[in-house]
Amino acid sequence: MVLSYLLNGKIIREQTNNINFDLSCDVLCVGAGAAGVYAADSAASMGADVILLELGSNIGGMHVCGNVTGYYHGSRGGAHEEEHKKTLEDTVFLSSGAHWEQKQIHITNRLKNSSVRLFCHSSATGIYFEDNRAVGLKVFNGEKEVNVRAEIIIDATSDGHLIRMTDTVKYYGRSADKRTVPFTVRTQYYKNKSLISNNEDSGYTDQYDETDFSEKTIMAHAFASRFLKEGEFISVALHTGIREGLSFAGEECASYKDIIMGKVPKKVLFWAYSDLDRHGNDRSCDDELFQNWWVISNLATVTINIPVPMGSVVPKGVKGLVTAGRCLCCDTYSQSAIRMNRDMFRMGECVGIAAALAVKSKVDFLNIDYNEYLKTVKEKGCFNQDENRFFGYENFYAAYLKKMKTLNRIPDPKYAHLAPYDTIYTPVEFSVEKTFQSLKTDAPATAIWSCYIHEDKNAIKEKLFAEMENADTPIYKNNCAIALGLLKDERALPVLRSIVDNRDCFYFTDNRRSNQFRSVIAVCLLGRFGKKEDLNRLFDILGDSEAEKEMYHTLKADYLYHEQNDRNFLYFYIFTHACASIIKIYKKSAMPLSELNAFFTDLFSGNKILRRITSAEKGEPAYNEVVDFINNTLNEVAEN
Amino acid sequence: MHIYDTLIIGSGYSSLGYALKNENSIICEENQICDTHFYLPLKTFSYKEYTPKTEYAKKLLGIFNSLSVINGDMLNTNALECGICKFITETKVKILLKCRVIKAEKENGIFKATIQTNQGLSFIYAKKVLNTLSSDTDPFFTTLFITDNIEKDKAALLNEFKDGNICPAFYRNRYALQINAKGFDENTVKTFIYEKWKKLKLNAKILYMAPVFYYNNATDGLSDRNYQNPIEAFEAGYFYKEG
Repeated sequence: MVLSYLLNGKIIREQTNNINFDLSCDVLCVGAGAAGVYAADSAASMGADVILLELGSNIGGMHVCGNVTGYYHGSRGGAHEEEHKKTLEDTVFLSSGAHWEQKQIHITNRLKNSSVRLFCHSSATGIYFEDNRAVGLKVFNGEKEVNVRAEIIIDATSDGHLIRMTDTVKYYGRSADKRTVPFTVRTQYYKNKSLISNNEDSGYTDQYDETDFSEKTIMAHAFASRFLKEGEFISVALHTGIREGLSFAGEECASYKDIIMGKVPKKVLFWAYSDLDRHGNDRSCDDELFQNWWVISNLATVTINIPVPMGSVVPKGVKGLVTAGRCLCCDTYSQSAIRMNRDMFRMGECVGIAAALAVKSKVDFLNIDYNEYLKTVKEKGCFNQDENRFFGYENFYAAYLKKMKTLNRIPDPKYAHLAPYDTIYTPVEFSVEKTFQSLKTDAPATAIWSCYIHEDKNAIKEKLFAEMENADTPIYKNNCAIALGLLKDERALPVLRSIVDNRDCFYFTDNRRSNQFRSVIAVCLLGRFGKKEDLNRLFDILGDSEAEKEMYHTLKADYLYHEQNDRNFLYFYIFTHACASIIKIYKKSAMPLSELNAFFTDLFSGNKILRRITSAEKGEPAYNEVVDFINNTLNEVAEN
Repeated sequence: MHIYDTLIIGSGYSSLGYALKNENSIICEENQICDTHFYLPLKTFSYKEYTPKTEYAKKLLGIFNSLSVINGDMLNTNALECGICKFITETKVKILLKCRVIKAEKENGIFKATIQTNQGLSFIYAKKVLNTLSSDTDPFFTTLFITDNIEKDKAALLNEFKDGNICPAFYRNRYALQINAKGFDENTVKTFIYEKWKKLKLNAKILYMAPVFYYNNATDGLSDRNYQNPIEAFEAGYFYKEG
């Protein structure tokens, strides 16, 4: 038997003999968060003997200790519906939705009524392996180390603490530049007889570096002190690793490429539901396909019913160990979508059911009878809430009413029955034949993407070129040019250049947030064509007088984006994409990067770029974001 | 291999004070901020006057005053956490969060502490280990609530929680119920209080069931539990000498 553990960041494999196991069980679940609790409970309900370990003194994980009061995205269904119903009916707590401790109490009662053995203050310090099979854990229970044997172990720590003790290949941070995870600070205060919550994107932290994690956490909480004057302060809580966290090489991958292309794996563990919920404002260094979806086509908030493969929770080459929760085999983009609270409850429940079936049938996790599994998870309602959903727009009714008021329009009476917290779901179909007309409107997203994924790209290009040439409105001409540019057709270049030269800041209205300005799209596309003659117009964007232009200081009142006073979004977008496009052109043209190195070093010296984008002070999230971008850019052009 | 003078287990005010006086110290705090309570363990939510002597303590008090977390004899205990973090960012005390000390063994006169963080296991070497935690406690549990009819709700609550105590909690109409939680774990005591509260059908609504265990037992060691004033606890740590 081998004990595998992390010491000073390295995996140590230590031969051990004659291990006495203090406890044993069928299913050993580590982490009593959203996924872990339901994994343990569902496995126990299927007859498995279950032990649940939790590091903290209380259960519930991020959605409880992170003071989450409501949900957005994630599908309903499964065992959690019972707790959700009890929470909504509750009158003990003051809440504007569901109080986090209220939920915690109901979940605690669920576990109390199950046969799950719960141990708090307990963390796994090592994994016992027999060959490549995990057979137990070394656990520190707050007083001493004990050994626990299990048929199957579930890593529901959300940060992959057990996975990190294996030889499985791990991935961490943004794929383009390995930047670490963004985190959020959530504050609650009482004002005007209501509980108010505020989420603040607080920058990036390497949560596996204890010094960086500690410093950033403390800094973020210090910064949260400015909310003390907003109302009667109640609490502040940290959300780390909830996007772009750890993923690993699994037997299958829940990749965003498959997801946005509508590919469904043979064995689906469960269906998640979300948009690709990336936070942070710098999209210039993202993966090209992701930029096609988010920036060029402006599909940021299209919600997707996401089939998560069974094998995505199984680390490659490892038996007896699976994950439940937001640590799975995926990429940083899909990870931003497969993490919603309600999906994590259901995912945990599904993994627990599969684990129990594996133990009962004495087979490995991936070899369970899939039909039996499917029947069980569908009966329990945790598999897929809505089999008719694939791609769509989900808009909160309250936001819809606000928009109608701003535009001085009367709300559609067909929505009259909705409550403010309800959502309006509009299915989306990517079909050129059905959506081409939307290129003539201010909501062309679906059409642009439909052109991009169309099978007969040559035919689409010819149609787009012809329409662009004969367009009777600027909006139609420009939208056709964007669609054509996305297909890498150089005939789009004159129009794209004109968009940039005119600093066209028209924005599409498709999404409920993150709507991309047309200049930003065009600047991003110019980089891909790699034409040297575009360098001067891009360098102009970085010039001293650019930031003073009026357009950067007058966002319209109905702009569908979260307004934050501490940064100039539009300038940041155009600036970052211009930098990225310049670098792309240099690389494509094999021009000397040393020139760019000198240029950017000079450009970023002093605080002038920072001050064009934000008035935030050092250490504040907006400041950190700009500094991160500057550092990444300089790294791109650094001499080897 | 860096050898600290002192490894301090637990991040109370007295730990911070000690670490700032003894510069080559490091504090290991088991909890992440969202589950940690720098303001532990104060006996009540009320504030006993104390005049700081040291510049650091004056700075800490200054931060608290600038954030208005002290109001007469009342402390905004939840908000103290933000003030503490502001203080730490300005004074650069070395503290590791989410850091469990598994064991500390003496080798050749130096303590080798095995710690577990998000990174995994590693070691901290120190000449001395100060443990500010103790399992020898008589814990209380505090529930923050809001009501505009305190007299009626107080009578009902104290009738239900016979050994409980209710005091004002900084803001108008905000109060704290304290009960003895001996023998309970945190999950169980929350459920216990909830079930009782639900039965009473009160006007009062719970704001926050902070797992604020604080300790009744005085000690000679480095600890906050002897004090009713965070600044006093801070300076007790600052001037602390063992033995």
